[in-house]
Amino acid sequence: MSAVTETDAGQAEGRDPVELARALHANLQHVLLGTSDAVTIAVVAALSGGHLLIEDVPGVGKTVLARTLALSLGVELSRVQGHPDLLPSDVTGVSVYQASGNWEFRPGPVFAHVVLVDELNRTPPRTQSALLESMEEGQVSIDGETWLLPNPHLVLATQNPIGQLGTYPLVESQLDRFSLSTPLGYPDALTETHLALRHGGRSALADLKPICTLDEWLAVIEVVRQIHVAPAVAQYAVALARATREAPLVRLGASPRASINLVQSAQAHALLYGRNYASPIDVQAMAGPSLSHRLLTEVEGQGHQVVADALASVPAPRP
Amino acid sequence: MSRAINAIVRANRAGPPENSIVLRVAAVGAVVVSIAACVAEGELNRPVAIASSVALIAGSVFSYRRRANPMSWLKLVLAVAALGGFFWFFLHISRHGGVTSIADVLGPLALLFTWIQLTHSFDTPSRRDLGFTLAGSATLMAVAAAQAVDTSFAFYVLVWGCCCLAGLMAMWGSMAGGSPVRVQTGVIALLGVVVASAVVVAVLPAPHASTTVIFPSDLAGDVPIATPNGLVGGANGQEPVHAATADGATRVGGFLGFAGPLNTAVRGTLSNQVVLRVRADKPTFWIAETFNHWTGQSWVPGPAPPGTVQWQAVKSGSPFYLPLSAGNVVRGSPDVQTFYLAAGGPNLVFHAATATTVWFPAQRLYVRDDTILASTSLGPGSVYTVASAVANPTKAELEAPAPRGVNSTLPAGVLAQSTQLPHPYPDVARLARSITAGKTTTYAKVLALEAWIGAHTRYTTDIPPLLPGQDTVHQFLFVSRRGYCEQISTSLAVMLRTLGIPAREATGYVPGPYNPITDLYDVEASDAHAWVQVWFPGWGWQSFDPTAQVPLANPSPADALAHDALGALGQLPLIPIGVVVLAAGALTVVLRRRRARPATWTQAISFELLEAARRVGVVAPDDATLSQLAERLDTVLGPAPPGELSATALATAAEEAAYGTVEVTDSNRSELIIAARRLRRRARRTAKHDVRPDPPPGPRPMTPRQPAGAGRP
Repeated sequence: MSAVTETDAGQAEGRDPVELARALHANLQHVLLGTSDAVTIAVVAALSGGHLLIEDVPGVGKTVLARTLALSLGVELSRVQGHPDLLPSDVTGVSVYQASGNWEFRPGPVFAHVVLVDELNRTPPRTQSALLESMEEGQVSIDGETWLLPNPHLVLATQNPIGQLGTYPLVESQLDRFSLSTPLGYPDALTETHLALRHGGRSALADLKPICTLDEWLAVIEVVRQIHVAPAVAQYAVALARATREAPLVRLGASPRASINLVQSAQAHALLYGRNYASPIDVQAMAGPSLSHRLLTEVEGQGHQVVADALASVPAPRP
Repeated sequence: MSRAINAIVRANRAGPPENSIVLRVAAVGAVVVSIAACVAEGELNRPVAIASSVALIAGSVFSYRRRANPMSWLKLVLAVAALGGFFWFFLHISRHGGVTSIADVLGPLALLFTWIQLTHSFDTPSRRDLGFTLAGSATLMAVAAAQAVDTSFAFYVLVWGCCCLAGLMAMWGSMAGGSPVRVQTGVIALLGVVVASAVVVAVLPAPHASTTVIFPSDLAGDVPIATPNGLVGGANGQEPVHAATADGATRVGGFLGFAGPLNTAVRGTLSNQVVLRVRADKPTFWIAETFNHWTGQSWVPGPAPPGTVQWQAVKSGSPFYLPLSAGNVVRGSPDVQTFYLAAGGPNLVFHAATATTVWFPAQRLYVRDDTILASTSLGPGSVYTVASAVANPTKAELEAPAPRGVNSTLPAGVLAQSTQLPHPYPDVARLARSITAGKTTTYAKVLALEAWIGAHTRYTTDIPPLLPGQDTVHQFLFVSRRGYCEQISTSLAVMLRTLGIPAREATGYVPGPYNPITDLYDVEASDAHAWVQVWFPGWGWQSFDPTAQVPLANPSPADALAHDALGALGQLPLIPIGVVVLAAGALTVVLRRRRARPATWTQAISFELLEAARRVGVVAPDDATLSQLAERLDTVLGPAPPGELSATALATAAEEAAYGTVEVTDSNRSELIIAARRLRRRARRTAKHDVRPDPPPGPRPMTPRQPAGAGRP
C-alpha cells in the first residue's frame, strides 16, 4: 500500500501527512500507555478537526491525553473545569469597561486551539449551550459582536458516566456536536505499574516535543478532507447511520451530521493507516466512536450495542 | 530491405500472452468438432482425424505453456510446414488429372486445412492467434458442409457454434481485462444466431436439381462386377442380392424386389435406415426393376422377346443416352433426379419412369425394359443423376384414343410377354370381368379393379409364407384377402392380364420423407415398394399403385424436421447424451454460483477470494470487508509462495482500485486476476490435502472488529 504521495500532501509544506499522523500517534502512545484505541481516536479527532468526548471515570488520564495532544500539536491547552456555578461568560469571555471608556473583550478560555472542558456534565445547561455555538460555528457571539475562534479549534470534553449528584446530563444537541467519543478504560496491571513508576506519565510529558507547527496541523486537516471517499464507502457510512435510526429500543438515532462526521473520521483513520482513500474498514473502525454517544436508547448506555448490531446487519461493501 | 524486414517482424510480433483457458479450450473444441464433421462427411478418414486431433490438443497445450515466451524459430519451422502443405495440395490436385468436380478437391482441401490448423496450434500464444484458430475452424466446417446431404450435419454445426460462442465470449471477457461476460449475454447471443439462421434457412430457396448445370455423379468404393450384367448387392458387390430369408433380418439390398426373381412367397423385415437420398423435381416412384414373367409365385425377367437381347449394353460413357424400351411414346417434361446412396445397395440404377439420360461415372450400363444395371458395385457415397421424360397424362387423356403420330400398339413379342400367364386363372378372369363389367376404357377398368381391391382386401405384412405349389394370386383373392404390396400389385397385374390388358410388375422406392432444408427425399429401406405398370397406347407404361390409393404427398417441413431429429436422436449413442446431460448439470451449478458474479475485475477478485475462503472453510459473514476476509484466509493458507500474491495483497489492491483513485492498467488487472485464480487453486489444494475440522461454532467465526481503530498503524 503506497503512502499518500507528495502531491497529495502539497499543502503540508513538504511534511508527509502520514508521517505526521503517525508521529502524533506515537507521541500520544508514548505518554498514554495501554489505551491505544483512545489514542487512535484522539489522533483521528485531531486530524479531522472534530471534537472529542471522553467518557470515563476520573483518574484514568483524560487530562493527560488532552495535554499531550495540545503539546504534540505545538499549541497551548486551555482548560475549563466544569462545575455547577460555571457561567457562560466564564467560558466564552466577557466585555470589560476600560478606563478609556471603551468596552474591551476579554476572551475566555474557549479562545484556544485545544480546549479541554473537564467534567462537562457538571456544567449547567446554560453554559453547555454557550459551547454549542463555539463548537459548531467556530465563533462566539457576545453583545451582538462575533468573535472568531482560532482555527483549528478542537474541544476535548470529559464526562463522568457514573450518575452523581450535581450533574446535568448532556443535551442531545450538545452530544451531537462531538464528532467522536471514546472511553479511556483502566490500564492493565503492568501498564499501571509503569505509570506508577513514571508518575502517571507526567515525566514523559515533560520531555515531550511538539511534532508539528500550527500550519502543518492545518495542512494535514486539509489533506484529510481531500482523502478520496468512494460512493460505495459513503453509502456504507450512511447505511450504518440509518440502521441506528431503525434499531429497536432507540429513541433517537444518529443524525445526518453523524454520518458526515463518520465519513470525516474514516478519512482521518485512512490517513493514519497510510491510505489515500477511505476503505470500508475505516468506516467500521470509526462507526462506534462516531455514532454510539449520539444515540438515545430506552435503556441508558446501550449505544455501543446498537452500533455493533448495525455493523452486523449492514453488509460491508466488497470491491 | 531492412525496413521491409522490420515491417514483417512488426506484423508478426505476438500480442500479449492470452491467459484465458476457456478461450483455448473453446478454440480447440471448435477445430476438433469441425474435423469430426469432415470425418462424418467422408472427407477425412478416421485415423488421420484422430491423430490430428491429438496433435492439435498437444500443440495447444504446448502453446499455452509457452505463451509468455514463444519461440521465434518455431514460427519459421511451422511456416515452412504450412507452405509444404500447400505444395502437397497443388501437386496432389495436378497429379490426379485436374479437377473435374468439386468432390475431387474437397478431400485434399479438408486435409490441407487440418494440416494448417495443426501447425498453427503449436504457435498460438496470443488472442489474435486463437482468433485465427476459430476462424480457421469455420473454413473446415464449410468444407464439410459442402458435402452434407443430411440435416444431422446440423448437430455438428450446433456443437461447433457453441464452441465458437464460448470462445468469442472468453475473448470478449479477456479483452475487457478479464472480467467475465455475463452468461445471459451469451445465451441471448446464441438465441439470436439460432433465430437469424432459422430465418435465413426459411427464406432462402433450397437449391433445386433443374437449376443445376452439372449433374453430380461419383462412385465410392466401386468394384467392377465379375459377370458383366449380373445383379449383385452390397458395397463390395459380394453380397447376394437375395439376402433375406422369411422373417430374417434384411440387409440393405435384401428387399426381395431387388433380385433376379421377385418371390412373393417370402418377406424380409425392412428397417428405417436411410438407404438413399434423392433430389428430384417431383416425388414419384423410383423404379429399380420391372418384371414381365409371372410364374405363379415369383416374378422373373422372362425370356427376351424374339429378335432382342435380354440385356442391352450402353457403352457411350457418362452421360448415357438410353434407348426407349417401349417404343415411340409421348415424352413429358424432363424430370431430373440425383441419387445419393447412403448405404451400399444392389447395382441397380434407380430412376423415375421413362429414363432418357444417366450421368454415371462408369464405362457401361446394361438396360432391360425399365431396369438399368451398373457395371460396378455401388457403395455408400455413390452419386448419380438420371433425367427422365415422364409423361403425366390426365385422366381424360388416358381414356381418349392414343394421340396422333405416336405408336399405339406394343410390338407383338412385348405384348405377348406382358399378357403372359402361367396358367389360365379362370376364376380370376371371372372375377375381373364381373368387376369391370360396363367399363369400356382401360383406365376405367384399372380404377375399378383398384377400387375393388381397396374395398375387399386388407393390408398386412403378417401373412404366413406360401407353400410350394400354392398360387399367390389365388391365395390372396379367394382365400386370405390379406397381403402387402407384392400380393396386391401382383393380383392387379394378373387380373389385368386375364382381361388382355398389358401389365407388368415394377419394384423400387417410393419417396421417403422430404427434408425441406436439404431439399432431399430421405428414402428408407422400408420405403421399398412394388406396384403395377399398365401399357397405354401412346403414353407408354403408366404406374398404378393399388396398395395405397391415396396420392403421394409431400410431408410438411415440420414433420420432416421432427422425423430427422428423432432419427438422429435414435442413432446417437447414449454415452455422449449422458455426457451432455452431466455437462449441462455442471453448467447449471456453475451458473448458479456465478450469478452473484458481476462484471468488474475487482468483483472478479472478490469472487475468487470468496471462493477460496469457501474452499478452506473460512466463513465470510456479510459484515466482513474483503481485507478482513483476506487476513483470515492468509492465516489459513500460510505465506504465499514466491511469485504469487497473498490474499491480503489482492484484497488491498482490489479495494484500492475500487475505493481509491488509482488507475490500474489492463495488464496489471489480468495479472491480479491470474494471481487471484492461483490463490483459489492454492486454497483448493490446501482443502484437499489438509482436512481441517469445521470452524468452531458460534455466531462470529471472523475476528470481530474492535470498537475503535483495528490496531496500531
